[in-house]
Amino acid sequence: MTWLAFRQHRVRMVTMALIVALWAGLAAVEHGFPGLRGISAGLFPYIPLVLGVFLGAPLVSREFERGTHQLAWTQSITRSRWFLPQTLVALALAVLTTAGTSALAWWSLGGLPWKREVNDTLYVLTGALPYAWAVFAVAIGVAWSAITRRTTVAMGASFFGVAATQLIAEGLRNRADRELDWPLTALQSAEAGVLTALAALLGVAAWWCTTRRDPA
Amino acid sequence: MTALEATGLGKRYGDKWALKDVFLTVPEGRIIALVGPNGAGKTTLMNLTVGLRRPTTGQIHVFGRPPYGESLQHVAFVAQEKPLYPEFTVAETLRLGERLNPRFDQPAARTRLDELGIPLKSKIRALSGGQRAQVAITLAVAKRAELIVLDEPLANLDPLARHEVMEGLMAAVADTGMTVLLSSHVIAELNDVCDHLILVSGGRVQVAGDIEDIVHRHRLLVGPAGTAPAGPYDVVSERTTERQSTLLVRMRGPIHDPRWTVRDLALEDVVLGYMRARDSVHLPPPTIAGTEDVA
Repeated sequence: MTWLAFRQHRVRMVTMALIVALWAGLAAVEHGFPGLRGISAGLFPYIPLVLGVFLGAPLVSREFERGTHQLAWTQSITRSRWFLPQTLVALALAVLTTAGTSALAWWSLGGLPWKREVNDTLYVLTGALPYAWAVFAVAIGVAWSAITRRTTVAMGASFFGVAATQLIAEGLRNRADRELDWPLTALQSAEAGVLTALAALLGVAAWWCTTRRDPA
Repeated sequence: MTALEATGLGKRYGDKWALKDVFLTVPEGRIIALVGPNGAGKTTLMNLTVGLRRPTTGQIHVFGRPPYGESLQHVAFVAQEKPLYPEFTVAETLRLGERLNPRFDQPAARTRLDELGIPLKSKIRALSGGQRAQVAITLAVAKRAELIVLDEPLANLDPLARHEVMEGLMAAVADTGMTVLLSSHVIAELNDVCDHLILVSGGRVQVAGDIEDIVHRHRLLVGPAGTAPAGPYDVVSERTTERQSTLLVRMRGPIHDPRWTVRDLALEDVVLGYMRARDSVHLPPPTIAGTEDVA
């Protein structure tokens, strides 16, 4: 079933590799022309939207739309053993894409001093935080995918879900920064922790809908 | 051994019962025709049999086990639209089968597809409808399950493909001795290959039993209107014109009434008779040999 998950993610692997390649091109230009610095770092918060929409949202619903759940779920394995590798491959792909793009964005800044402020672009680029966003975005995509069973609906819902969460997170982190006397890394860790916990809840919801609900 | 056993099986969608109070016992090694009008509950019964859906009431057992998790290796399924991954090659589709099933017979599957002239390198989306059906059925057969369930396997196929699909399936049955459950709303095309019948209508099982036995028990009685033939029988359905009555009956003993003609029936006629009379609740459906022996 791991083989099946890898095989079904082949096109998405190529897509993510292309995104990283494009990002590398952009970062190289920024590196060569320091006046342009900050574009890829500024665009980085859009990466989770892409991950949620293209890695998370199709995961379960695509099977329903093509009827292939009737094939995949009537082999000699439980639906959990089908679901877990699929989700893990999507998560791994999201984490790798995040690693590539965040490293490139960081490099494109070329040693620009970090102002150590909560509003700085580097806040969401460093530590565990970008990975937590990646995991959360995929989880929200998979959850909508398993709940709605329609890819286009799940794509829209996860796009707005991630975007809304980003807005809320921004408000909360600014407020926390003002009211709590925490170092910035602690604030990042707290945000990453909350996102990971939410991702886990969404993951359980997606698993439950996939394995326990009857197909439509 | 019992291939399929349903006890008090029911499935409700919203407030509508797709299947209700289904009791079934199907012995091993049969080729079972599951027939009934559209929307009768055939697909629901099949989905319950292969574990895609869970029953609302009662239980279903395939070779003594509920069809979930590890027990799925004992039952193979081909859904009506024969779903396969269109972007996979035929070889990758077989690899899927091998990876996901402990007893998958890859060499037999390759031999079969070779016989059919389906190249392993082709993408599934490049195949014709008949070839896709063949790949889907080959994949299910190669699972080496004791029970194979096929939902309308011949729908959307041209006559030649129908013939080839059926022939291939029967060859596989001869090789492996597996039990086959296949559905159709065209009884004529199942007549030659099946030896057991389950008729569902309106969400309940109306007739179940060996075809030979069912045909043997039913007769058409034609006689003058306004009279009833003497003898032990149950009326399944009847049609009366001004001068003559035609009764489809289940015989419990010989009929000796000179005014009435007794005619043999084809399976199709018996099934149609039951389909027409599905609201006649006073008519008990014939039970299967196995349960009757116990009672």
